[in-house]
Amino acid sequence: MPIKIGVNLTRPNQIPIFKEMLSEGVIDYIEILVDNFLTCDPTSIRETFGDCEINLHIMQSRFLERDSYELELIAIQLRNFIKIVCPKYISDHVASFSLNKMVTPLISEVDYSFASQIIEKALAWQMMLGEKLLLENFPSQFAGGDDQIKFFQRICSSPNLGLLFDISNAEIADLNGCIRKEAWLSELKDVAHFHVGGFSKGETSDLFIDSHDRKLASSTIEFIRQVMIATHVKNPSLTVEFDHNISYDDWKYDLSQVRLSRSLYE
Amino acid sequence: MNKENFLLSTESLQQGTRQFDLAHLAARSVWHAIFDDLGDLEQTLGTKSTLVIKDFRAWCLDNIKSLDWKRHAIFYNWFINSKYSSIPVSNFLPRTMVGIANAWANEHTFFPKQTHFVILHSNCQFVFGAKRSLDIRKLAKVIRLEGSDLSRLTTSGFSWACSTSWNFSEFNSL
Repeated sequence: MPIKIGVNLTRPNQIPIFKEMLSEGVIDYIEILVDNFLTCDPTSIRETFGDCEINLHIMQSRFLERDSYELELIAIQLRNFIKIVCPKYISDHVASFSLNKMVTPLISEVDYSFASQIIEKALAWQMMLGEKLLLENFPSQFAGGDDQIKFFQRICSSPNLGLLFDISNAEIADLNGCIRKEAWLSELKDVAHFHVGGFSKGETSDLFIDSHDRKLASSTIEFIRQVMIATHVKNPSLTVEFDHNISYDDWKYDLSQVRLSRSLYE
Repeated sequence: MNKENFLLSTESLQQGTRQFDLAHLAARSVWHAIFDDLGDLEQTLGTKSTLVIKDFRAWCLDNIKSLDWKRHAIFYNWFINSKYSSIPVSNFLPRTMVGIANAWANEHTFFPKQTHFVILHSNCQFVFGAKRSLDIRKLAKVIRLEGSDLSRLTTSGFSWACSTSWNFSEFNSL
């Protein structure tokens, strides 16, 4: 099945190169990190990108932690974005952004034993947005067994929530000894939207982290192939992410590798 | 210690552990979040900058200070009362105010409907403003506002306000 390939827009100065990639057919859509553009008039997105497919990704809604008043202020802006941009998906993160009332510099994994409370908050947030909300799997760093998969099974059982499957996050969780990446494959039948990015190793330990600062590993390209066989969705989408130390040559190389390997599973 | 405390402090962590690596990534993130806008201070401190951030974070943890968009103000207020306060730093206060304005301008999940911001300090003759862009193609702007009428609105320390235009009705302390 044809797979759509996209990139993540995080800052305005990427726009010219992304428009070039669109016109050259290197990418099929843009995923916007809405956090960085929330006060923008979304009509400027359509003016910029024409009728290109635009999808929305949220990093810092902190829907598990913010009160409903603050969330509603964010939701007002997002509903306007959704109305104008008509994304194929809108996605967010299930994570902890703070500890003891202090914002943490890095996010951490939630405790899945609180799954019911987490899902309740996710549904409340989804209702504010008015669109189905996809939630991204976490690149687990400490052993947790298959708690995350069980959590996402519950997420996917709701008609209003779904999984944005981050392929490299699953690989990282495997490398960190948390969940075998193959354990996800049976959960991906109905999953339509995916992320992937480069990762790196910790400086002194055996930790792997989703640094999004380098090319995709060859093992990741192979796992993409397995994932695309696992999903039964027509026209799935795959966003290739690059956030730090961006090399557009490396990024285009990754996009070409994904497109090349696409023929192995189409 | 809670397993995630290492995200707020690098104390008592053993090299070669995952917590150690994550703690140092977190520390580096805070270092950049502060010093990317305070180049003069970073140059003045040199290699001491890492120790400064370590001491600052320890103080934040003891005093439950969250480093959100107001982090430069929190850092400034701590620094001028810390053991480092005698170190002369050029443009420290104005650069701090630019850092605060930059952070507000670019972190849109805070006050997502507001587009205009102003930051004042009782010890600074300058007033800085920020304007978020309505156009996805354009960056936010941080500017120095001419005219010191606004500075008389702050009696002590930092004051800030935000709105959808350059009319500010309510000022808050930092």
